[in-house]
Amino acid sequence: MSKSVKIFAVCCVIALAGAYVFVFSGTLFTGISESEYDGEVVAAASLKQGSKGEEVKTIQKKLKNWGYYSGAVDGIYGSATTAAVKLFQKKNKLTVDGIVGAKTAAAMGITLAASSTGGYKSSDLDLLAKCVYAEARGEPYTGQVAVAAVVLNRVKNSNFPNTIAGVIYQPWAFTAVHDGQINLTPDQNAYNAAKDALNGWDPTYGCVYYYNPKTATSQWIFSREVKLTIGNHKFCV
Amino acid sequence: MKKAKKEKTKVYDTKKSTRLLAVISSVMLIGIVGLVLYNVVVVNDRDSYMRDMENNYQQSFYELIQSVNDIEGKLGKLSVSSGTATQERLLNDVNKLSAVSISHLSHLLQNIDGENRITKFLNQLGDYADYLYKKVLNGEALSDEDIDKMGEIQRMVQKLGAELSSVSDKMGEGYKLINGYSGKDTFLKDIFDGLNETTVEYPQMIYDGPFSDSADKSTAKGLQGSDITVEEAGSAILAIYSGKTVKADFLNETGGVIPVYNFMVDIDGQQGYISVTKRGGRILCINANRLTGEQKLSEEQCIEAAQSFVVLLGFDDMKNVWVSNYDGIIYVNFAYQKDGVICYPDMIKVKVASDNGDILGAETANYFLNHTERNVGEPTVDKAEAASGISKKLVINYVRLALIPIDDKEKFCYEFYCEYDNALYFVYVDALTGKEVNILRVIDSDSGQLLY
Repeated sequence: MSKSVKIFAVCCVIALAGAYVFVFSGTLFTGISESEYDGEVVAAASLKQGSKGEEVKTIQKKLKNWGYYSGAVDGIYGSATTAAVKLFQKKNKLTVDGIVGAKTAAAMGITLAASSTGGYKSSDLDLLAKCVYAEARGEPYTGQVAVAAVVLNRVKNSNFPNTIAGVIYQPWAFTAVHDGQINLTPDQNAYNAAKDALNGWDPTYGCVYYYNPKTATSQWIFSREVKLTIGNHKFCV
Repeated sequence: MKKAKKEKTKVYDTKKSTRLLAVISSVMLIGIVGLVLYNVVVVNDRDSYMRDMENNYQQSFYELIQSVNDIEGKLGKLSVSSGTATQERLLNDVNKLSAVSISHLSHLLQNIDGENRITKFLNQLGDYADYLYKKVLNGEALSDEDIDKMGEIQRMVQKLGAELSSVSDKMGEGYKLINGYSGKDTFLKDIFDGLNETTVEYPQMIYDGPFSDSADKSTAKGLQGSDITVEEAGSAILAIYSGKTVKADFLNETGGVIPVYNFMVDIDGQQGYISVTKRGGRILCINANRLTGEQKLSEEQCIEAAQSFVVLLGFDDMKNVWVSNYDGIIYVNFAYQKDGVICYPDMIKVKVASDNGDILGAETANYFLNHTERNVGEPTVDKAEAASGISKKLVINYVRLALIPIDDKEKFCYEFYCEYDNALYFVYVDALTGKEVNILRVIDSDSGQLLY
């Protein structure tokens, strides 16, 4: 009898240990996914060749003071700046890519603003680029411009909210917002597509809906008149 | 002998069953303890998120009711007001409140499918109020018909308010809006669907604002000629890129205001997309993309490249009116110019890569939609008189005549390019009445000068 009590006690210890591991692994898991997410958001702010502005000046000044850079402090991220950044990265055992991302910026002791894409009503452009990247990153370039154009056409249409944020974040309007892909970091192509749409390019000529026939679940959408197909998306009015 | 063996087996069995019991009980214990902890940690978290979500929905909902009721009140006052100052204020309030309502509504409406008649109604209501506001502002009195129409709209807003209140009543009984979004019930959806049904008579609005139903019926005034075939459209593309290796694959054709043939193209290895109008075989849209390298050409050189491309596309008398630089891609805007008057509605945009001068895009839809040989005439207000009407704070850099689009109409104006407090402004003064009609502010940014 005393033996079975002993067994029971051992089992209890195992059980508690198991439960602890269970819960701990749970937090461990969330911990990993959150840090990955942060990494992506931080990566949104990076300066690279072609960037311009005050932040570039700061970088050039720092690099010059430390002897990595001998060019002009003019706020233009050219090939000389890239070379200096690469040298800095090499010396500081960072990934040598010539791009000032979060880690390189931290090593230089500076903080980058949320975005380096300039002041073109920047929040609208960023938001639109995020939507394009989340919804259409695998699509042909014109298909990406088309998705951005649909968002802008909705802003102009009386059936939809009147701001870019209102249209993009309307519940269920875009799958990629619902499932969180909207928080991925857009690439340069997505930014170019968003910029084209803001400048008036609209390959859909006024469409306010689009869907992927392979994944669409709404029956209603199939009843819309399809104006054109680009890549995997059918665009309709 | 046989018996002993049997007993031995029995002893063995008891031992085995004790061990089995221990294993089962420990597994169960792991399960129970795990579940309890899971509940405490995860479910608590989730509940807290759900409460936050519910509170967000509720805030939007209550603010929606508030603004809808405010609109109703203002419309009520409007129907009994006679002073223009009161009318101006009320109409302006209605316009602002409709925007507020739409913003709150957009947090609550699930846009899976269907036209949204409530959003549309509120948009048109705000737009109509703005239209009447401008009418009063210009010294015209509201007609009886206008007042009647507003009365009709007021009854609609009342109905909307009443439906929303029924949701509010149910929330008083503990109903949670979030249930509607997690698919637990369809109460909220039913209410919105009910409002979306055509059982309610929306007044047909008679005006030409941006959200009027008649606004879509535009035609391409600037397109001449007869319809062409796909082959001819293909040749039109080849004609533009003579001297280059061009591959143009017909993709599809699109209808609408300007029917087009669409092509996927490859020009000297650069992939792109080109639309050619069915009527007249003109280029409506060119778009290509690549990551550009370091800027090697000046803005002036890019404008020159864009200018010759515009000529190549068959447009004469186009003047570059705007340029913006974005990460090495230069956008140049051209407007038609006749007798010294810039016609902004006839706009063409060209996209140039500043590393080698490649034309990455062109957009001519606005030109073809608006261009026509207009008889602009002469201004009746002279330059000095027009300049005396604008703010004394502004330092005028230059002035020229321009045709600008306002509320879907074209207005003949003086364009003053001015400076104040380190910011640049475009001020437009009606060349026939001398009234200031629009002010644009230039947002100077890293990516170039852009219009706000």
